[in-house]
Amino acid sequence: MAWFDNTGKENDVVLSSRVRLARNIKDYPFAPMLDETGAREIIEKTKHALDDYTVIDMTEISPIERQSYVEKHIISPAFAASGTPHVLLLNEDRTNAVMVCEEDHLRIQSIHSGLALKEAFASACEIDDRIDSSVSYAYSDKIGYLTHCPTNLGTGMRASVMMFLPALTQTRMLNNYASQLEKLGLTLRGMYGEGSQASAYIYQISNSITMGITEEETISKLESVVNQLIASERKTREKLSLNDHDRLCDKLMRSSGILRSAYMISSKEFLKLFADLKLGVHLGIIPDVDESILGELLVGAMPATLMLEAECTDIDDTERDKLRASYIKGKLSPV
Amino acid sequence: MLCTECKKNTATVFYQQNINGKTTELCLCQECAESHGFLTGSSLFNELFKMPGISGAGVKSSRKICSLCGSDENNFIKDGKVSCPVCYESFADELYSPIKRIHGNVSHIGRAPAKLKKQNDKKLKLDELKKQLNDAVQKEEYENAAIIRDKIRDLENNAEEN
Ligand SMILES: [Zn+2]
Ligand SMILES: [Zn+2]
Repeated sequence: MAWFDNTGKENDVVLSSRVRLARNIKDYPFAPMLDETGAREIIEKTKHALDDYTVIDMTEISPIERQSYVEKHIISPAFAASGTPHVLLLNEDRTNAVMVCEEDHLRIQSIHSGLALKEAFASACEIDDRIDSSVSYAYSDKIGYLTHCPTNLGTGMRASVMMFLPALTQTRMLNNYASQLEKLGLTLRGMYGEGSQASAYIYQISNSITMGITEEETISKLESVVNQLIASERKTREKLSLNDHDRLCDKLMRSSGILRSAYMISSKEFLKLFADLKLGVHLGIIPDVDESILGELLVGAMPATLMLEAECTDIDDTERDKLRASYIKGKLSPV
Repeated sequence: MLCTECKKNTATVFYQQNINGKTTELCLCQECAESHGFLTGSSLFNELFKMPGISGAGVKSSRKICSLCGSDENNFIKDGKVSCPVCYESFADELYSPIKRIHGNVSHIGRAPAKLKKQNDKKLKLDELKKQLNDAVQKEEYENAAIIRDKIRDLENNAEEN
């Protein structure tokens, strides 16, 4: 199942774990410099290597469908916007994807629900091995997998964990962590919202160095930092809830009330309220919402996915905000 | 690496200043670099290649050209990104120090394509056997040497088959 369709380990703090490998095929310039013939050849080679994957030609689907894949974190915004031939290969349960002709010829990725970096890495390696056995990768003994951007040289691997950190954000403890993370070669950034300002308290933490360190080392380093953050976030949530339990209950239950009864909700407002709902569910303050629907709700309320699922893609902002409110209401009301 | 100016953000821009023969090195974050006017519409790498001694303003007499994509040393990198895999070979000298600055080192460890891995493993094994053979011969252990020599032969024949 896709990461948002189920709940994985440590799902009160970790939404998903992702491993991405950047790969390029020998004797072709990188994707932005590639001519159409070259792009088609690379697409054919990859389709052949992964013949059991579904092929989605990105130039043949609508911008809203492309955007929905972005909202599900299956493709990058750059991939959605590319004008040259590019396809997405997707496995049946949508945990594994290969973007063909992104800025690198291949972006192999595996996303799992909850904390599951090792599982995601194993899946990504399996795809990598299958492609490796039928093409020749651009690789140098010295600097590793050759990539369009030199920041990906070496392993070409970006491992990342999407985390929900409301307590560490509100107590500003996250600021202290951020500088420590940098020294460890890790990067923390907001997942939703502009720049470093995270909305819904959702962050992505990933490795920034890809050379001189093995994939396994990178993953275990990331995992140990994530585990520290999980422990710290939980402890801080407990403290916050002990300090002023009534006020916290009131705040979270009010947000839950708005989500269930509003007539219009913008995506910005939704993200704010969603964070309160999620926190309330995990703290046991909002007991009538099953935690397994939270991932689906988060993705389902995003603009493109929302409109696509409702099969009304040609509506204005007001109609969309009304649609969102009724979608959320449906998700949160007991069946 | 932290920005040497604000000591808060990660340094992403590296710049060598040469004023009156005195060279100072700056490692700046995006913000500080912009406030110093180092990033006026160009990227990290375009800036990097203005470093003295790496690429002058087209005054070089011998032109290098990449055999795959045809780029030369003035345009193989655009917006911090390299044109093709072969450019990494063609312009290895130019790329060495930027790569080192990004990653802190220039030696990959980790996964490798299966074919190359097999070749490397074989090469390491051969080197080891050849060393053993030398030792055996020096110690006049000729019987042992013969066994090692056969092993080497087997391994080398094996390589030709594949
Ligand atoms: Zn700075
Ligand atoms: Zn080239």
